[in-house]
Amino acid sequence: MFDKESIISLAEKQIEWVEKRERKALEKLGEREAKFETHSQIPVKRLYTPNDIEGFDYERDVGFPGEYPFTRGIYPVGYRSRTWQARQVCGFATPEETNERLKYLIEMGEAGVTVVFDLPTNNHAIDSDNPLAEGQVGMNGLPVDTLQDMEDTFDGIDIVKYPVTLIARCPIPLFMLIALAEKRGIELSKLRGTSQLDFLTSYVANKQAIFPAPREAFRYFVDIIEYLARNMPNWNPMAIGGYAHRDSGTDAVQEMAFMLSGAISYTEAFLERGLKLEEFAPKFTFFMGCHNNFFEEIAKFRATRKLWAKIIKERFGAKDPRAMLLRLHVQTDGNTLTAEQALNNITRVAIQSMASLLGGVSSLHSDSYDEAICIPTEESAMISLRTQQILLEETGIADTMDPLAGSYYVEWLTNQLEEKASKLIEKIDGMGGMPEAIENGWLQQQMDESVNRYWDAIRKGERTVVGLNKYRVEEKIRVKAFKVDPAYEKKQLSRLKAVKEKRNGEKVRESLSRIQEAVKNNENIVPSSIEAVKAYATLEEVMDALFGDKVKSYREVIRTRHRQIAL
Amino acid sequence: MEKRKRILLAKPGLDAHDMGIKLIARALKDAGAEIVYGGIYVTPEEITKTAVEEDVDMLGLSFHSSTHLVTVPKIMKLLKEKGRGDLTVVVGGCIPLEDIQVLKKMGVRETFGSGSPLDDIIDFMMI
Repeated sequence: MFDKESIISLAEKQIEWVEKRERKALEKLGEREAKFETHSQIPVKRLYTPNDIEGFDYERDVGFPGEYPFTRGIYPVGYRSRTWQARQVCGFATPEETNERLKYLIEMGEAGVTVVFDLPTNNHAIDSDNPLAEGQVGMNGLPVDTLQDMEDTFDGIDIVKYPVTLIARCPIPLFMLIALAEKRGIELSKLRGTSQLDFLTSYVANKQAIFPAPREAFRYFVDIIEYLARNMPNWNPMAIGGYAHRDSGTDAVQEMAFMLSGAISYTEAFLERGLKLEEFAPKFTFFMGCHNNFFEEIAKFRATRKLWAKIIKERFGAKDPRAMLLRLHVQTDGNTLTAEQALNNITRVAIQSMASLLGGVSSLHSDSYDEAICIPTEESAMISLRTQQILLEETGIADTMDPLAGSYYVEWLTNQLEEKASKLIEKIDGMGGMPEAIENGWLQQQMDESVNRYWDAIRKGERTVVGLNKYRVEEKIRVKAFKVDPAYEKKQLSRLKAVKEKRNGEKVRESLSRIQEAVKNNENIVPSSIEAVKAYATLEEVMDALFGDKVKSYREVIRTRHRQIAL
Repeated sequence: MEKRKRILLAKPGLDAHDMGIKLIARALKDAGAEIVYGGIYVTPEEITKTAVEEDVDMLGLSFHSSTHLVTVPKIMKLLKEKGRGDLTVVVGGCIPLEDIQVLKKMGVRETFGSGSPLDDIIDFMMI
């Protein structure tokens, strides 16, 4: 962008400026006491000039939107022709209450529906009537036990017109959605939604084993991806996440590296099965958080797009540009929200949403201000949606593509993040990949170190969290919390009981043993799993048939290791 | 030499938000306590068993998935049955303000909701 001579002359002028102007001003005014570094500990200078991006090559480093290396965006035109999708997650109480809320969100202008599941369903893959689930059914998400629950959740909702996103690592809700589509007579190839299925994030971020050890679990997920690639070409099978790691306390560089290393491990496994790169890579979606450090987050989205394109092209030899696109969903980071003076979160979320859009993300969930306290109320969910609408329609930030390109600071920071994340990915490669980084405890250790560093800084006052460690006030009343009535748990239990009484027990048993046969004979596990959920086998029953004792033994390994690493 | 304070920290329930409890474990350890770390996803039965076997002086419980009102009474009852009704129990995490008095009536000595300064928690637990 700048020729060598002008860089040299500029460098000389800058030295002079520092001597004559900056130093004097600093002597007189001093500097505010703060640690000037990004969340990823990248020191931030007082000023950035062309000297900081010496050698910057427009075509090589950023290029045009929709062209390699996609730094400026994955599509040739941005939000002017297709705005990002406003996506608010939903799921609570029972399928009937969730159904009502989903319809309300569609009425408010949502382009699709995004469902989250309760802890028994998603994190533990147990039914609502399992004693461990007591008190937690429908509390933080939608409880799903049988196909009946999915039928009621989507009752009266056109799942072709409104693509469904299932935020679940557990694959059973997806099998149920497929069964539902088949029962409604929908051609599977018409389904355009997204499933998460990023099981590698479950071990460390969730510290949970609902699956066997990572290397052993791969076989099942390769089966699922193969089935989806062959039968549901418009479905996005896997949302590969950095969010779970970020929300567990990692920094931006780690978030990038852990997410892309996961994607590399998946890609290797799918290729090994004989799937073609073009069959699955263009359907990958990615899921990151957006934290507080405004410019680092913008640079992160740009750098991640670029880095993934390079990896898939250079390392895996992709020819089809569609395989290189980082289609990115972002949720503002829940762990930046405070319970204290919770209305301040509206400001935080607005700024994080702005960073996400300046970073060119494809879809965005803006957290609600009360999420540090409860799941969103209708009012707070509406404010989140309105925040996005204000950004799009009032501020003009979405009127031109990648508006911060060429900023000395943002381009410098983009390069820094790419470089640091690449190094971390190399380190994980050296261990064998993400499964090994998980197995040997390294990932957990990295995460714990980041958490400790972050909170030590808050405790010492080196990092400010407004309302938490600075500008604190005593609050008599906090925001009105949305509470799920415990009566819903009883309702869900009786719903499950009714299904169990009505279903054909013999048919359920047969369908479950067919799953076990498929597992044993190395057949693809998806068709028999779909048949089982159609017979109203429960989520826990299907999971048991698929994984059985392999999970139980691994669960103990994880728990023990987790306890050891914690101290 | 004074006996070191033994504290059992555990997170019952099905959620994995253990950032807080681990930070507290580390800070208590730095402050000189001996920590028995029960970890996440522990049941009231497991917690009580550990509290008795390890003969701890205090029990710290962390909740982030709205199950405190269901789980705390169970633990209190089990502790009483096992002869440890005397144990000081402290609760932290995502605790709505209106639940604080309810928990105290159940026998919880003190609560520290999200946002409580770490130093306040440590000061209280080390007395």
